[in-house]
Amino acid sequence: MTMEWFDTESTRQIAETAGRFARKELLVRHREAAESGGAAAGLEHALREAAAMGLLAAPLPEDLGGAGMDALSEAILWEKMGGGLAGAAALMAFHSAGLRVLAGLREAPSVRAWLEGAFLQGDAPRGPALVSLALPDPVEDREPGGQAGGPGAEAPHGCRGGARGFLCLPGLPEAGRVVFLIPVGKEPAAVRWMEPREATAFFTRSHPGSGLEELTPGRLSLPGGARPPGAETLCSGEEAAERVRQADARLRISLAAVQTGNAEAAWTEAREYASQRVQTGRIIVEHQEVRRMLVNMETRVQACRSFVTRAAALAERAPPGACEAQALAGHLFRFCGEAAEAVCLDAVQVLGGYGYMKDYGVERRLRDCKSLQGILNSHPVDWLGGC
Amino acid sequence: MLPAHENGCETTEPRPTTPFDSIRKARVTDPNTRGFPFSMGEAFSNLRLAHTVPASYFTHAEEVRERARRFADLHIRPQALEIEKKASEDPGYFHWDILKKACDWRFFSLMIPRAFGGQESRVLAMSVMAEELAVGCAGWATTIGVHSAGISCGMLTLDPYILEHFIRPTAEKEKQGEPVVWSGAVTEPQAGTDIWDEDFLQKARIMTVAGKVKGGYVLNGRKCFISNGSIAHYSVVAAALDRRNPRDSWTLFLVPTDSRGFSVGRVERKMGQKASPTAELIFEDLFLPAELRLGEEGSGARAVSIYLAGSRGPVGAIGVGCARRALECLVDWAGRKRTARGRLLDQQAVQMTIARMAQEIELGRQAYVNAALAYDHFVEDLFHQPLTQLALKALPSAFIRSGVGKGVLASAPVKKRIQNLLDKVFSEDRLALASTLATLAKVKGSTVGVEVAGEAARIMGHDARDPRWPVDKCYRDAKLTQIYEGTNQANTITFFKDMVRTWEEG
Repeated sequence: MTMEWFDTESTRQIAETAGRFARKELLVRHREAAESGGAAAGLEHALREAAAMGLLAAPLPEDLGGAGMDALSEAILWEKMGGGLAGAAALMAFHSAGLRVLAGLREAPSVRAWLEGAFLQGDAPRGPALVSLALPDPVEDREPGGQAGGPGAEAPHGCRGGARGFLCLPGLPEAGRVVFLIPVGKEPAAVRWMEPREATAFFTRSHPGSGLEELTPGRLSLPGGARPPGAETLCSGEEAAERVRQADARLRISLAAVQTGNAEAAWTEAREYASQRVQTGRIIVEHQEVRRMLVNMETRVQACRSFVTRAAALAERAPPGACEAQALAGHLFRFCGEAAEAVCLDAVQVLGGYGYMKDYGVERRLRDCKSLQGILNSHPVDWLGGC
Repeated sequence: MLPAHENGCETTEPRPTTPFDSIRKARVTDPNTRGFPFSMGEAFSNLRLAHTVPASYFTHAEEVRERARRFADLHIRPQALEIEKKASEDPGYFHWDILKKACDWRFFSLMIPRAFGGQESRVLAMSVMAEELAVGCAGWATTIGVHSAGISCGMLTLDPYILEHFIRPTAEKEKQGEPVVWSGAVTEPQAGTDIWDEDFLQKARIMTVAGKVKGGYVLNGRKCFISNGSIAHYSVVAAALDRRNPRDSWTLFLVPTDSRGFSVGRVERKMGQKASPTAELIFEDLFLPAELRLGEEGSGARAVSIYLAGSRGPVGAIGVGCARRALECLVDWAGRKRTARGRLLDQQAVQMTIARMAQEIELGRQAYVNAALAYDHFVEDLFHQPLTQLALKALPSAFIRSGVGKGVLASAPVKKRIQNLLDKVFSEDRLALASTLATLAKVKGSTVGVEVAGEAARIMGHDARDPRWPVDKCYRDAKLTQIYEGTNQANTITFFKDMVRTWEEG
């Protein structure tokens, strides 16, 4: 695989380390654990390994025990992780985005204390400390008090002015923090954080059965205008608004990179299958239609990668408040989601009946891709406010 | 993309992959069919047919639509997610209660001739049923659709023995509330796309072989990805009599699944359509009496082509059903949700998307209705032939079941006459038209299913997995319609070949 834009020693090293981790820990070990019904344990093991390798502290400055990665290096990291298991990669990307917010607020005593303690816990029995990021949800129920999260799950004050957290994992309530990014315009912008134990009071699990099985994607509903009990406000006003925008943009770039890695892996799996499967007396890659599909997949993967690179470079250089970088991140998230879906759909199609069966793993890439597309609930807003 | 040699491909001189003249081997002479799609002949042919078919053809299809819609609303929708969850945990799980209820709604005898206790429906009614059931859950549309297709396959042999001993009891058991399920088994582990095409079959790596023995055949081999495989009472199985010459020896058999030597292998864990079990079938020295052969020896490839011309349209209908459910969810969701600009349903961007989806759904539906109309015309023609009337209506049950009757009906001259009739009714001309429209309907309907459900899921984001709006399920279910009954790519190759057969030389 040519990675011509990995043009420095450090980015090459990140790609190699993350790629190795993704293959060994996510693709092989975690898949084995998931098949034997231990998806959560498999993920926990993977997270411990990631913490030990320093992959969970990628965006933190070095003086706080992190790797001090820039946006481009992070994009490479998440692409490689996405090639292993998109769900786990997305979880880490959320964590990373949360850490980035906290790193910017390191002067707050509670944040600094937690950050310093968090990475001493990397090998603690309860696992690495994780941050879950709750981003504002642009879509809300019409009826006040309408359901959120399905039958039986009540949102006490509807979703108005609320926020949604999408990624959580079984070990999180014991070890991490939830950072809420409160939307601008609904109420005074604010960055708050709270113990997951308290956040779970507002957490409703989504319907299982789609991708990201080992995670429990769900919805965090905050009472409109009210401060959740136990939550501490870290900053507010214009400063908070800017932090929300930046975190949102960086998370979108990270998730687009995860989609790119996931799509590339689907393409690779389809290519390998097509080079072995014989139909009509020929390996199927010799059929021009199959070749067309594979070439289209590659084009899309390369386009995603180029777009991620550009958005990451812009995000790194953009001054605070630069709308262009944030808008680009929105377009990127949407484009990569759709392109990755097209790649994964074609990958399943190349494998035919085998592609639809769980044993081959390509169908999982398609499901993960669809889950990631919807994880920020952004599309109606992309259309309506994206121009 | 890797260079060809690194992909394991031959690095040969550039050459045509499929010489055009090799495809145009059997030309079509019917002026209605000639020159597809340039002549518009097929459109006028179908328009004329719409005026000639009896009104009951349409009213029956409407009645089936209402029946299927009510059945889906009452029995499928409320349980669909729960059944999917159970089947996810245990792929072997099957919810028999719904099938038992389907007996009361007479979905098992839909395609069975009236003289044998059925409703004598045609593919239009079956397609409409498939769409309506798929709106509830595509898995059930597949289960009942595959059953109907299996029955059609048995019925189109016009073999009174099969009709009397297997098809009539299916209708009778239905009246008693006992579902008798049929399936069709063609795909094999090493032969997928190529096994569905008459021309590719010769190169397919076949492993299911029927060896001739005294009084019948001994079946050995395996079939995979068989819908209804683990629940069927009867399976229509395609096998080669000569592994070295599969195309000319391809033959269909009716296999009762309680036969010694039959077993179900693995039941697959699938991405969607989990309500419908998909299984591997294993045949080990399974003896089949000669009476269970469907049609003449070596007629299997042609029979599969006829079967596919009827069954692919309903697959498109299932895709359309998935799309319809996804659209229904999106409309409801957009009416309840709002952003800072107000209710989503009041936004032009959402309105335009909904309109585009509805347009696609209607096009998908028109495609399968068109295919059904062409195919049903040929089946009507077959049913009005004197020999068919004799086989279906005039022969008393007692005669068919008697030793004399059995001997006469199994005799070579009788089988030959039936085969000649089928060859005449499903001539090259007619089959090319029916097959072209059926593959089009399958590809269009399944694509509409995936695209509409995929777009709805993109818009709804996280809510696509909310139990109130199971759009994610529609998407996963729809994806299978692009794969089974021949992948869309295999269908498109067939489409091209059938189409160019209608073209003038030069």
